[in-house]
Amino acid sequence: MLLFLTRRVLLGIPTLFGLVLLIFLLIHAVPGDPAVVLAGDQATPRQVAAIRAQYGFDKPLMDQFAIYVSQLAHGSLGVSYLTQRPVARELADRLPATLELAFFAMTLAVGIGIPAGLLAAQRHNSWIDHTLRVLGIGGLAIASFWLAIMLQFIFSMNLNLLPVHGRLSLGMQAPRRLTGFFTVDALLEGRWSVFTDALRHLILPGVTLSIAPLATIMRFTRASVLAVLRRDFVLYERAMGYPRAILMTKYILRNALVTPITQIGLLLGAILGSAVVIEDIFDWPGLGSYAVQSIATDDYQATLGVVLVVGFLYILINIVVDFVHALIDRRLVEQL
Amino acid sequence: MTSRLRLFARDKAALAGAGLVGIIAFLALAGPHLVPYPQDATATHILDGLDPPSVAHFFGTDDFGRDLFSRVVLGAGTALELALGVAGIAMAIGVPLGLWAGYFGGWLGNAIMRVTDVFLAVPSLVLAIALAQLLRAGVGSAILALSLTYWPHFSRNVYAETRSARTATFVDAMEGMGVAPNRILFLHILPNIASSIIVRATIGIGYIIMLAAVLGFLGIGVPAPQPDWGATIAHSREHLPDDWWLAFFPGLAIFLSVLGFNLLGDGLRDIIDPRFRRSR
Repeated sequence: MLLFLTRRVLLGIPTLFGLVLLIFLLIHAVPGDPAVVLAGDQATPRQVAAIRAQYGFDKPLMDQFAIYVSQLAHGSLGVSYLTQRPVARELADRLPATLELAFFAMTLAVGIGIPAGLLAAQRHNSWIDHTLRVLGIGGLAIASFWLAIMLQFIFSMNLNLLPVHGRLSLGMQAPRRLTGFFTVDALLEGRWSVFTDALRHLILPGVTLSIAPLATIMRFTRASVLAVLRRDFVLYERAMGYPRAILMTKYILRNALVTPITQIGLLLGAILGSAVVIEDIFDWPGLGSYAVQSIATDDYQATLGVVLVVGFLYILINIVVDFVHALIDRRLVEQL
Repeated sequence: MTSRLRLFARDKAALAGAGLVGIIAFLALAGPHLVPYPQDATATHILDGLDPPSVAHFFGTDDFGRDLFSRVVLGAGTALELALGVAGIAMAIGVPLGLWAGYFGGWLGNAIMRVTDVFLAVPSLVLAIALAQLLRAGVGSAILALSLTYWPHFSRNVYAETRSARTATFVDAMEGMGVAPNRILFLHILPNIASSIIVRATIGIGYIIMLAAVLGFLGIGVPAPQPDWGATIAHSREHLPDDWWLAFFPGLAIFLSVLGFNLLGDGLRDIIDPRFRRSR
């Protein structure tokens, strides 16, 4: 198992290297002086000169790439010309907010999607199955930013049930930073009112982000449960008079959940992608709203920093998913 | 073929999808001659600003007094033009690369597929945003950014199909006769995998419409004043909660077009590739 994990991590390295190379080439593919491009339109000549010296843009291309890689290896993603702070530090401050939102959305998607898919498969071709299918197809076609605005319009502006934006209400003091997840930190501190407030702020952006992955997970669960139900061993166990509940949880689900779980990695990536827009709409202080803000101000170092960090997270998540997958299905360990 | 047509005709969801796609294509083509206020693509009448939906303006008007119904219908042209352009360019890049990688394999095939993996290692939306920003606002750069984001989906798909097609006996026979590899690839293997490419493109167009709407929403897509669904929704946020129609109708248009292409793509896949048939 350890060997499997090591090999899987080693396989991720070329992809990460490729991603760095891609971004490096992007910086150079843009017409104009890369130092000016990175510094932004409103940068002073001194800032441009500083960036040129930092990345060695006056040296040959190969040297430049070596410098860029070593900068990254030392954890430097450049300096945001807008805030004059290191991009890496700003991203580290904002990462927990994005992760809390993404995990919350994923929990909703898995927590509702898998039971719903199971229900649809059990009541195959019933009205429940058809309704869930229509909802699932619809869920994949909704533009998330539109859904976000509509939810804000209905639940915050008209019904006044949930907050429009932010992570906490005004005047509410953020919990001491342990994990960076406000809900978890508030619970650890035992401040119940902060926890409920943070949770209320999570609901609308979380629901928005969960819709598409929820629909996907439901679809995959339904299809794979149906496929397992047709297998001979299920017929045999039914004939032997196994209690339905044990048959379902112990034998069918274990076989059927492999496919939906392998999707989680891809879906988390998709959530991180949509979070860019959704965070902006809900003023959620994470990576996404940082990216949008840096787009609006042409802060390229900041945008590219977000792309690198999200790409890195995505590769990491897929390694974790492969590992979990291998834990469920040991046959994979021998294949790699 | 007729049995396939019959299969398709029995699939109500796919028919609905084909209907929606048909309507959107029709509106995209005939839109400028159909809408009540075709000049509202660019003209402004500030005095009629922010009227709620009425008989004169089915979807109301925006803050420049432009008829929203006209602009939503004209937006279909913008969206479809962009999505078809992107799908075309992405295919032109992805299909040959996938064919070569799948057929020749070796270090070149490996290299092509590793590059594909790198592009797929970043969520497409994030990559598209970074590219669109680097290339500066404009239709051309939005199309380029989305094409560069979407081509790996084609190359991966075509790669897998080519790998399985090259083991066919007719390929062995042609290789034995000394037919040039490119001739085998483009005249014999490509037609055999074309149906799977069409399915991928149909589903892809729905996805690209969605991505393009996000770019428009972020202000790095189609520049104003050209009618664009995403940009209209972004603009509507200043006018909520009072003027809800500004946000509602363009979003509905995105929903219906993406839904149409998704349903049609699913239906086509069921017919062409029974391996993935939805279990009913």
